[in-house]
Amino acid sequence: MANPILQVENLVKRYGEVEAVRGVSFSVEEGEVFGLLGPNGAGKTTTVEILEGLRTLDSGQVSVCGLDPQRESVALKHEIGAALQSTSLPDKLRVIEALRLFASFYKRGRKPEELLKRFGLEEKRHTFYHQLSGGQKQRLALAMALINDPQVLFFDEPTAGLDPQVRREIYDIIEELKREKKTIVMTTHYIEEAERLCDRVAIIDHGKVIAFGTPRELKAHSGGTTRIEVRLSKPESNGRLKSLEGVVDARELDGAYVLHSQRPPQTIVSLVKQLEAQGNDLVSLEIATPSLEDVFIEMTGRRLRD
Amino acid sequence: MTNFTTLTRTRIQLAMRNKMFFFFSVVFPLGMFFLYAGIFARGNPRVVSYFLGPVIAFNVMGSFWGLSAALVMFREQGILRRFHVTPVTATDMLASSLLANFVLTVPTVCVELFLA
Repeated sequence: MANPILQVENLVKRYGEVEAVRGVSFSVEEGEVFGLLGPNGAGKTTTVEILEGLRTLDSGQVSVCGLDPQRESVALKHEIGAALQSTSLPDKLRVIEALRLFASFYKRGRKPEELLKRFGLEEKRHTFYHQLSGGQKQRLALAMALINDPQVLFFDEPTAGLDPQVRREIYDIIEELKREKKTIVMTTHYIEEAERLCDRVAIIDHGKVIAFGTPRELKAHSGGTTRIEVRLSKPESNGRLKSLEGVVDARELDGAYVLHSQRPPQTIVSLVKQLEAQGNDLVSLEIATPSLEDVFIEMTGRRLRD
Repeated sequence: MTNFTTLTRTRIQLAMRNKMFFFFSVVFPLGMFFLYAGIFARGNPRVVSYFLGPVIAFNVMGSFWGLSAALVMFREQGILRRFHVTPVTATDMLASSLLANFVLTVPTVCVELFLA
């Protein structure tokens, strides 16, 4: 590791009896976009909040910009910028006032005017916070994260609850930050987001990192196979599906059969032949190019979005 | 300017924009004042001075009760969390709320004293 700006080792966090984070380790290099991908409740937000100094940890070691988030909390907060999950501002605060107020907390930083322009909020500068749309609120949240020109940015589910068009707007903003070589740690449960934005991804499930690497490496790990999902009118055995041409893996998932195939056309032809011979019918068929979802299914036997 | 002063100023600004706040911290206490002074005491100066203490105490208590409600709301909406990832400390936050509250309550109390 050349120059890690952030390091996490064996991080553990318990809430009462529940272990939310169970020994997570990773490190983030300067200038990279690092993603924590996992279903809701996997421990992503808890991990990020510990890094931001919002929560205490139970065991393990964490360092951000060479600082300990617990003991050097105020110093750390000058170096980081964050867009939190489900956060908000007072209703009657105007956009420009929010930026000015937060700018006043830091020693160095960017000009509120410059951020308004950059995030397309110039026309909304005097609008009250509660009158902004979801996308505008999120753009303001990102602008506020940048106000101190931080070394590391934390985006927790930056596009959760936004409609697809607004989501793409946010992607564009993050991609621009990426081109500027900002260090970003983000969490997401959207595959597309992780693949499009992240240089490296840690897939988290039940408080543990189950896979780690660049999106390409992770996909290669799942054998570069194509996923074919079929629904059938009558049940079929996994064993018989596995013996179809080109199939390397077959499993049942929420009433559908998920096949991973190295030669999709041949697999489909042999599947149809087999079903015909048994008097079974194909209800639906879906073909997906390999994605991080396949890595998740392979490792956990579940879908990412449940 | 320190975090404490900017926060205090913003809190005062926000409170003034809030109609509910205006009603409960200015209109309502003054209403109570006139109710006691004008009707119960029938303008009798000695009785008015007797009621003045409780009315002002009620005013101040009410305003701090409102403050705690506002802070709970800030917390529930995740507003406090957002301040918590900045260099602002919890002490700054609480102290500025108290001062802002104080600044906002004093004028009403002064008006009541003046009228009495």
